[in-house]
This record gives sequence, structure tokens and C-alpha cells, in this order.
Amino acid sequence: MRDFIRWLVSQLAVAEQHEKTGITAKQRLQLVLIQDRLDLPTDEMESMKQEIWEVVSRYLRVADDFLEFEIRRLDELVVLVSNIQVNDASELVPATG
Amino acid sequence: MTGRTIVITSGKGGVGKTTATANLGTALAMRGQKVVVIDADIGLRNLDVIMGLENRIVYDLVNVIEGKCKMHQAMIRDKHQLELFLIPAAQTRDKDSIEPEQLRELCEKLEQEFDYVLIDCPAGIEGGFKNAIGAAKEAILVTTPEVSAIRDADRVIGLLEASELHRPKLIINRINTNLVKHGDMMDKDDIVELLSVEILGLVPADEHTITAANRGVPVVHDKKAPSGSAFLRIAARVDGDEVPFMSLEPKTSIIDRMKGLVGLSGRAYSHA
Repeated sequence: MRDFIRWLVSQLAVAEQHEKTGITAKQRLQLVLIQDRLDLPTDEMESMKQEIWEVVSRYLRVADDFLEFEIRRLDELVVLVSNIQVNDASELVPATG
Repeated sequence: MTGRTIVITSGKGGVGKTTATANLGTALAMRGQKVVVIDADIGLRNLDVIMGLENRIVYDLVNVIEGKCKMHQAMIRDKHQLELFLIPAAQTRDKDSIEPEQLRELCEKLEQEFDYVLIDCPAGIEGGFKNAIGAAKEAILVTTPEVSAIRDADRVIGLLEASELHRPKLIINRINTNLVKHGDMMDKDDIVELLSVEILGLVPADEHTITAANRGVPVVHDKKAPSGSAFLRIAARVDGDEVPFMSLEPKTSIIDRMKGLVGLSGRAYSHA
């Protein structure tokens, strides 16, 4: 009986912390499949990133690397998200508060 | 340092080669070895998602071989093991993108730096398979205890022998202990008799393998997973330790345990 109670408690504990790995799998695959279907080799993605950086840096003083640069899903769309820090522009940021 | 290059192969697809490669590589790294795993399945990349490294890929195997990047640029460090690296397959190329000699040269270079170079071989017996086995000096064969998988494994043993890869070692994956117990699945001894190869390990069918793949964390990290401990033992054997074969007891339900208490259950079953 003691074994049974211990088992019951352990099962309840497991149920509580149960991570739905099926959802994790789906989310990971959504990104992987976008990449696959684009049929864009990762090294070409890297050269595109470099070229975009070069263009932007002709107009703005920017950080050496992107904060983010990736293709992802936005609802029904597939979008390229790129974020890069603009240097020496602190006066452009309105003071908060 | 001269490392060992081992190809992980199978006759039939879908028997768990990629899972075996990821777990063996991780387990060897957990033992303190320097390991690089290579995904040789060009056009059908998968080792990266099993290891959870899919977001870190910039360069791949074909890039290295074509000289587009340096060897080290294509090596992705594992998230958990500092001495484990992945060279991913190219996804947008076809299987003829590399020649067997090119992969062999790369592996010889890697052997200078690593204790183990593991190659995840594509399924089938066409070009990609020949590339992968041509680069290795040892072979591990993965099968499940099913008629089709074993028939195809036998064919591959012949091809390995023809490529001077003698005495491949066998991993039997997804053993359903309940079926074996009831005589409805071939056991280790049946398979050894059929294929006459040395057994490297027995891996029970285990749902943890599926959730581990969902997460992108090899199952050897999960201490509760029976398949994980099977792979840890396999790694120890590869690494030269003498490890007795695990007894694969079928999981018993509460009812069975109660029957056991009152003496209603059958004889205890031990697999190996």
C-alpha cells in the first residue's frame, strides 16, 4: 500500500510538470521547414547578411554584427527579420520618464 | 592523436541510425572523449535537429569539401558537451556533391584532432552510402528486430566486407521486451544466429527517445530513460570497457505486480 501511494504521488508529480514535447517539436519544425523550403543554402544566407550590412553601413554607423537576422513565420507570412544597432545615435533616443 | 573513424550504418532506413549516432557521440563526449559527428546524408539533413543544433548552422560538409570554408568553421559545438562537434550535411545539394576520397581526406584530418569521428551514413546502398563507408575504418550496423530490417542488414554486411570493413558490430534497436517475452519478436540470440555478427548493444523501445528528439536533446541526457542508459553502455563498450549486457525486463503494470505478490505471474524473464 505504501508503494502504491508513493507511485500515485510520483505520477501526480509527473503529470504536473509534464512538458508537451509535441508542441516543442512542431515549433522547431516550423522554422526548419521554412529554411528547407526556401532552398537557400546557409552560406548564401550568410553572404546576403554581409551584403545587407555593407549597404546599411554606407549610410549609418552601425554595430559590426546584427542583433538578429533570421527568416521566421509571422502568422501566415514568412518574413526576414533583421535588427542592427545604430551607433552614436544616443541623442536620437528620447529620454524616458 | 589518431582518432577512430566509425561509420554508423543500416540496410533499411528509419531504424534509428541518426538517433544512434547522436547518442553514441554524446555518450562518448560525456566520457571525456573529443568527438566529432558528421552528417553524411546530403539533401536529407537530420542529425542537427536530433541534437538541437539546427539554428546554429552556417557552413556544412559540402562547403568544407569544396573549400568554401575552413574545417573549423563548419564544426558546430554542442550545447551541452564542450568536446562534441557536429559537421552538418548540406540540405540544398544532392548526394553526388562529394567524392569518397574527399570525405576520407577530411576524416583523416579530423582524426588528428579528435578521439572519435562518427559518420551518420545515409540509408540505402547507393552513392551516399559508398561515400560514408569509404571514409571509415570501423562500422556499426543498426537494425530493429524486424524481418525486413534484418534482411537488409545482411545485405549491408556483405557490402561492408567488400569495402574492407570487416567485422561490423551490431546495435539492435527498439526491442519490445513484452513481445520478446511472448515469443512474438526475435531476440538477440536469434539475430546473432541469422547474421553472425558481434553484438555491440541492445536498445529497448522507449518513448523517451521520441520526446528527446522532440526537444532536440539526445536521450543519454535523460537518466530515467532505459534507451539512454543502453546507449551509455554501448559507448563504454566502443571505448574499450567490458560491460555486461543489460537485462531487458519488460515493464510490469500494477496489476502484474499484484499478481506477482500473490504468486499468479509467470516466470521472471531475463533478456540477456
